Amino acid sequence: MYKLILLTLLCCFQLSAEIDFNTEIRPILSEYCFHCHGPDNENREGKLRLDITDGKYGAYRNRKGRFGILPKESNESHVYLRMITEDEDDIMPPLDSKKVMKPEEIDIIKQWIDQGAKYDQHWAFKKPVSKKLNSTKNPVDFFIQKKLQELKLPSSKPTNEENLIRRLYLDLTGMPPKTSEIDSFLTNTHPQKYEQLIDHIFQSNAFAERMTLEWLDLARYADTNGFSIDDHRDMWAWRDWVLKAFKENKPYNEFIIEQIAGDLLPDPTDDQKIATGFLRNSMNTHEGGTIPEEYRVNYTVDKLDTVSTTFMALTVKCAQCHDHKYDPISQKSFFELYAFFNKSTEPGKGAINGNTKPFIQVNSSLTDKDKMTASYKDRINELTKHKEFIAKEKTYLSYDSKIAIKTIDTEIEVLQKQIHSGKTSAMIMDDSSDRKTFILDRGQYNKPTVEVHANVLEEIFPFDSQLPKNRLGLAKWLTDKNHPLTSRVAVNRLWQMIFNRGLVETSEDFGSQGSTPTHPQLLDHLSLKFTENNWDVRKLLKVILLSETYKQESIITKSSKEIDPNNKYYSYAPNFRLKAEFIRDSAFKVSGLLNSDFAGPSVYPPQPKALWAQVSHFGHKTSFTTQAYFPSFGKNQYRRSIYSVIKRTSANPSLTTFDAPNRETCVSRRQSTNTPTQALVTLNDPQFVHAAEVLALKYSDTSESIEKKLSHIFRDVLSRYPTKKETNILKKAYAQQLTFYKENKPLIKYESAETTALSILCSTIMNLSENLTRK
Amino acid sequence: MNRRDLLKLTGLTASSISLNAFSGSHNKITTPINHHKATAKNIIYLCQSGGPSHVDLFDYHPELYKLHGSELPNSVRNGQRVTGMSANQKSFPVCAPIKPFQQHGQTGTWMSDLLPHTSKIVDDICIIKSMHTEAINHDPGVTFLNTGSQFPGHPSLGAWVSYGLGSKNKNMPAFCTLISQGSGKNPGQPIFSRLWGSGFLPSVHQGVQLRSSSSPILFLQDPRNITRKNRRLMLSALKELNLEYYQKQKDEEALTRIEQYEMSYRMQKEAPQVVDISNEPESTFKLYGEDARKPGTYAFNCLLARRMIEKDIRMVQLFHRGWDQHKQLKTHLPAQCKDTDQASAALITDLKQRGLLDDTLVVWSGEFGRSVYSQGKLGSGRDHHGRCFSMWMAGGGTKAGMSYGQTDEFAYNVVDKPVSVNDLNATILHCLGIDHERFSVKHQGLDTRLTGVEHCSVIKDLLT
Repeated sequence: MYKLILLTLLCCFQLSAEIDFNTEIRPILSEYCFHCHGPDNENREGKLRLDITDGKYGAYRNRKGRFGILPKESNESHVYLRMITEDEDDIMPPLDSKKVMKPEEIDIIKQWIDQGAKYDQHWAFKKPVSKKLNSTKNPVDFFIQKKLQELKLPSSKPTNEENLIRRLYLDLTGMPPKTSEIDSFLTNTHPQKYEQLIDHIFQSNAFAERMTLEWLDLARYADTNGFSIDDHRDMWAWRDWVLKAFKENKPYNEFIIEQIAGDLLPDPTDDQKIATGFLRNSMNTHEGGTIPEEYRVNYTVDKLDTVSTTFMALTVKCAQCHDHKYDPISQKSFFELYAFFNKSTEPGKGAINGNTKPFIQVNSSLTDKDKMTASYKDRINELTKHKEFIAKEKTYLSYDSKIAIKTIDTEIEVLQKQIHSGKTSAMIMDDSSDRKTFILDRGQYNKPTVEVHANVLEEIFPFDSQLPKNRLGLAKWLTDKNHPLTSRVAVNRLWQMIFNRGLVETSEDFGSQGSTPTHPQLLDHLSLKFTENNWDVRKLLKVILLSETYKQESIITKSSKEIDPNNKYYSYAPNFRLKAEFIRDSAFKVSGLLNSDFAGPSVYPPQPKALWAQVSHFGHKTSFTTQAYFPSFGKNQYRRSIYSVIKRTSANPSLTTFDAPNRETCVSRRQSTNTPTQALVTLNDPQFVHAAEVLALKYSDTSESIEKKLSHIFRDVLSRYPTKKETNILKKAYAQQLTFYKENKPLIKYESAETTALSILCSTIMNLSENLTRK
Repeated sequence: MNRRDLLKLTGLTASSISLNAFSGSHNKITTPINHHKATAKNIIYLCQSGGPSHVDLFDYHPELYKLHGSELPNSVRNGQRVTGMSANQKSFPVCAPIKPFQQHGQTGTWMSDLLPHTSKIVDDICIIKSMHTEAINHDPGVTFLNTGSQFPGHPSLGAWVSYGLGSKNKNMPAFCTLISQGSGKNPGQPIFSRLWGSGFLPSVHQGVQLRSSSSPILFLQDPRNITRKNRRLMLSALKELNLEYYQKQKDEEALTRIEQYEMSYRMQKEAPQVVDISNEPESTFKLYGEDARKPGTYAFNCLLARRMIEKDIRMVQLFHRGWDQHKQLKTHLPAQCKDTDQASAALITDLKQRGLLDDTLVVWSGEFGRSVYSQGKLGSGRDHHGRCFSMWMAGGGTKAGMSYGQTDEFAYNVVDKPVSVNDLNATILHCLGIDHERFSVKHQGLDTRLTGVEHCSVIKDLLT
């Protein structure tokens, strides 16, 4: 019945407006038809393609008296007739595709044909257009509010200042503000204080770290090689490069050019060469039986996949084995793109215990020789302490402790080498090989067919003939102001970072199968502004952050729940769970444990020591690096999570539970789940337990009342004071815990029952939904 | 609301399906997938990592004893690609099985003397001798077996099962994994968390690794100075405060979070019970072997698998390492068998006795088999072999006492009824009531399935 009403409603809608091809028809054709009637030349059925109108196979074609689509005549259009036929042999999509169209979808197709079956180029491949805004409003508000008015949804009032500053700090640094930072903001009377605060945060290391995290997911950054034995590699100098780029607000076009082709710039600096490590973050292997060419092809495909997902949000990889089913990417154009990356001397068989050529010996410009040496010596001290401890035991993780000691020695040796040379190493790109590129049949490494030459996706954007046909040309093509994708994709991901969902939800796929933008004009407007402003990331963020839309309250309203249940139109500010790394970083910041050292080599925060050894080659007579976990001591435990070592084959347990990817492939958008194992992490992971205890200890010897203490702690964590009711709950809970510890004295951990009880309260507050959420 | 939103409201799309009682609001659905009647409710997957030798264990070809030491004919190898390890080998001498085979059971199934216990359950299991895989090395091979793709980024079978069927036990994860190291090749080839990872599915579906300590799930145990009593008090306060927040904010994630914290509390009680084998009678250890008393062994993990199935955990997967006998075949292979034979057979017997085998599909498989020719000196070892290998299944709607498929006299090529890894996965899903072709999620614009894009089929002959 409900369905029937909706259907009726649907029909009313349909009579009233012209159907838009890109938002309403293309997704249906893409879902049900393009697989066999799309751009793929090889597997096309019935000599018909529905992604274009004209030509021998185009949708309007007349073959043997039958039209694919005859505009305005659905009853002459076989595309439609085949959808409604009762004949099981004729019905489209065919039964064996196991796809069934919904009546509403067929109905829309019919109406669209009867309205004239107008096609339109896929939105993402059209050049962005800007309409002049006849308004002094912030463009974000202009477009967002316009849409809300259409939907008759009111926007929300501004959130209070305390929450605004918390939100801003969480969004821009991944951690809440200190109470002193809140206080100075609240007492500041300058009319531009909010904008000033944004600028102030932009200057901070914490901002650069936060921006870098997003980039590491895309760049599949990790500290190990990934396949099989998964020993270590040195790529932290590349991570430093990214940190520095965000610290200096490097224009996004330069950011791209250096990462794709820094080595090909005139007289490249070491930094520009390091930047190309972006491409070298691919996994590699030295597994015994590997056929090198098979894997070299894989690494190259991974580079292409990463570049096309990161910069163009295109699923180019689909065209490795056959023409793309949905987007205008032929298998030939796949290998033409592939050719850009195919001249590297990188071998298929990776190096053991370190970087695979080509690499350079360098110093990172954020971590000079002395800083690097100090950091390595620190690590050697840690390892030596582990060694001393293990030497006292007969076995370690069920192997003779001598094996563990040898393993540690191998780790130390790797570090000593770099200390001696005064330099670290970074894998980079080169074009030194004269390898030719062939189309590989079905994408298989050993089935070369026709030779092809490097070329871009000309169907999407033409290549300027002045440009060289190498990676530099590719990078320049991508960063051409008129490229329809690059700016949109970047802007969309920055929007996603702030609002937890892009204007295009599928931030990794702007193709025909991706979602359509909720606010296409806003996306275009911001994209054009971005390029006009010399690809200035901070300027773009600022437009968003200064908008009323951003500053709204986040309380979920009844009307929005009915009209816009997923808040796609922003009638209130989104609520969403913090990223894995930020949950941990925040715990350190509010407890005062955070070690805010910037940049440098990775660290080894505590995790159960058996996790790596259980899956790795630990115990083998040849020692490989990163096979057993030897945690850091002291302040290295409290570095921000982007510095935590990442071993690809053994995901960090706390981070992965909160949806951190394992960095095997390029990831543009994380999941955001809510699970019981997450509760176990924030309740029981010793790192979180410790943070709660340290926070409690801060309040152990003051003469303040318990009510005051709880109130301060609450504010330390949540950036606001508790309400009266909350205070009562907290006080009652404290009294219960205090009684418990007074009755169970052996369980008192610190000097008093009071402090121990307070630490339970700290943990309680840190585990609140509000603390895990940006609102 | 536009038309497209209405469309979404009126019909469920395949990609909106996601369920798990053990899950959050982002992973909500009400009913498990049920494309057809399931013959198995649960699955125990005994993954033998490294590539167990089908030549020595299951795939009996008496001619091989006579051919021992003779050169493998080129016509058999037929230009097949071999790993980098034996590619440069000048000679490929046939190496006969290292132990004799005997016939067993009413079915007269041939099995190596290396597996005396498995020999006793031949009438209960279904052996496939015509498995084959594209992969020739461990990383791609074991990744393919477990995720349907040789390359990283795809969800594991267990994650798919959790995603499609959800958990029957509200207090435990739907998919649990256990790892053990064999005494054959120690350490065995590395394994990877991607083998039980969730890939592009929500992280709640990843395998939760159970450990054999008092804190079997990571971070399960409360800090030492917290007891059940004050944890309960704390969680009640947490709940009150979260409710207070919800009243103000109306964010339903807060309600979900309350539920998840309560569930974690129940899990703290339930999970240790699963690993606490102190109440198991002596007969259990007679059946599974003395190893089953030792946490961390394969036998112990088999026993835990049965205990978890009793607790309605949807999928339990064991990973046992060490089957990679390039060298020392004659000592290492028997050692691997000794680790696993009795407990694997005991698990089947035990499940059967308890009436659990009907509902539980048990799968025993490695990522590939091993070459009939010797790697290195004659009889020293065997290289990887993907052109054919053997595995077995039991229970959950599979035919008991069956042998399926055939290889040539060299146990080298499949000559009848080939079964690909994707066919196997399609069949496993079929037993669980899932049509693998209709079980997909949108990933990077494609309807992505466990069984990939190439054609593959459910092997109906294997099913009752």
